[in-house]
Amino acid sequence: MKLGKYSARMALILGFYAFLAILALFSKAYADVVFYILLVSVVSQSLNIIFGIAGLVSLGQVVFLGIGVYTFTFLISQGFNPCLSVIAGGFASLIFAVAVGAVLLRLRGIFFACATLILSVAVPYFIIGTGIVGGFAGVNIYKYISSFYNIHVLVFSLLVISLFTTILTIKILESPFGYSLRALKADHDAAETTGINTFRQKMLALCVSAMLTGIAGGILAIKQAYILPLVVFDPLYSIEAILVVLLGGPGTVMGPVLGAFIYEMLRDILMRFAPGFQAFIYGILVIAIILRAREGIVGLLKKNKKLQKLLV
Amino acid sequence: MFDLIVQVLVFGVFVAAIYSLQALGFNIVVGAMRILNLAHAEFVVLGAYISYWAWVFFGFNPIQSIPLSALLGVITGLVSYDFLIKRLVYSADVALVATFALSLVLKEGMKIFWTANYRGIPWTLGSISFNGITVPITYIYTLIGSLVLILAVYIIMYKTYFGKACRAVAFDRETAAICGVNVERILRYGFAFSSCLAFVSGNLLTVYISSGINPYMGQVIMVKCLIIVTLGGLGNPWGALIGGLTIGMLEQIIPVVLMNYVPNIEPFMFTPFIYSLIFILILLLKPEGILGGGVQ
Repeated sequence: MKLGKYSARMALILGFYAFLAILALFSKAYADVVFYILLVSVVSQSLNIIFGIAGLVSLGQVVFLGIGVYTFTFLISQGFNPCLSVIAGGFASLIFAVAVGAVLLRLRGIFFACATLILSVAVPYFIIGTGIVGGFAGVNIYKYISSFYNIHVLVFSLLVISLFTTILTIKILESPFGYSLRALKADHDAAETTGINTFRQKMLALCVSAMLTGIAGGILAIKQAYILPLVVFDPLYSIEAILVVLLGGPGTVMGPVLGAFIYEMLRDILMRFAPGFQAFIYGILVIAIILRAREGIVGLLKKNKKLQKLLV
Repeated sequence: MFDLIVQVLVFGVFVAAIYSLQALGFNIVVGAMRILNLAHAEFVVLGAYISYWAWVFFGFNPIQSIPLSALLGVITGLVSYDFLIKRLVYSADVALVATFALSLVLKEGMKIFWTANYRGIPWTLGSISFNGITVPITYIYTLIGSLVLILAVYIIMYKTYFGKACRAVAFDRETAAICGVNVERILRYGFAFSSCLAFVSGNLLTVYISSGINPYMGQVIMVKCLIIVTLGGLGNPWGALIGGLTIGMLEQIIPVVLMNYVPNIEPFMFTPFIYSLIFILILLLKPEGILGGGVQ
């Protein structure tokens, strides 16, 4: 039987996720690794929507994750339903993205990137300075979540979100919205001249990206249990997301997912053999990828004619 | 209260001189190469460490170790230009991500080599009082040192061939090349000059932060540097001076005001948030900065 191009791609993606699910069920230790693979894949896939497809460099993706974490923390400590709190984290991120985007999306290129970088510094210091939700000392939410905490449930919910994000990215790439985003990346002024409402499209992309990251943030909060502002808003999360997108291939669908897999495996190895050196090696990796392989892994694999049809 | 404000403003001037020095270096790269070097703050931190090690090993005080850190700054600048920056000039976005990664490598490298401990230089020479305002003598030496350096930077930028060529490249790269400027070489030395200034300013900064030298202090320095440069005008050498003075003063004034007038707030921790608001406001209202961007 000859599969169509579309279903072959879907089979590949579903197969990959099924592989991750089996790996998670295999043992508790693997479940942890798979949890982080899926988390990083959600964050970097949503960064991919604005960075890879729309070409907006965002150095502050961690802000959306952190907003999700903090919304969840606040709501769960007020006695709300955990499912509801996770989803509320997504919406809080969305609202934040609308507010921030209305201001920052008027900036272009490096100015936008700088503004997002500065935003990711501003938000944690706002939390520390005003002392809301625990301030500098953080909050321990263990007593609220211990009744329902189960790593397999967390992995499964992240799996659903990650799969949803990936399929959404395919849909976006095939839709007129995706074409307008790619036009925007190729040439902002030309895209505007052809009648694309660039501000609206960028805003939509940012909203989608922020909401998905925020939902992932809620689930990360359950895993972490102890919420500290300088840990939650660690700029390393932002560079992680950028590294994964660059590693996998910016603007591709499978790139961030494959990138997240390789990245987490690498992290696991580094944790064992060279603890304390991870961030150093990530930095070198980003530089090496930028200098040597601009299209990432998927870009390299696509050079093969047979694989070209399979990969998106 | 009034005495406190005056005292704080005097300290603002001291810090402002260092900030201007940092921002001047940053501006040279922004102007000539049109990329933002996010690793600039890590160069400042490296300078601070050199000052510390010169104190520990050779007994040099931060003024005496200026030539050493300037030399090492030039070498670091040349090496990072040849290996990395040279290949990034084609795209500002790519350069941004790459220099962000470079800053991570330098930061973590410093952590690995020198641990994350807080270190400081106990350099004291007593202090002088004037109308109730007390100033340590080391601060005065450092202020004189940084003012001399700022003056030297302006002389280099406006009177020498290198400085004029640098400004010409920033103004219009193609025309400068037609007029016989070796653009490649100017960019290389411009980057080295910028990193040299970062090292020297980090070296002098250690006098003011008595026990706060650690690998992670770069983040706040970077944010301040970006704000100063945007405030004064990207690529404008005079803007760096104005922006540095403004931020140096604000940084001292804001915590005092917050402490006295706004209850329930951690004043020093809240200040970075206020900077960020200022930065975003400037970008929106007057993106070219107070003095306007470009070369003057």
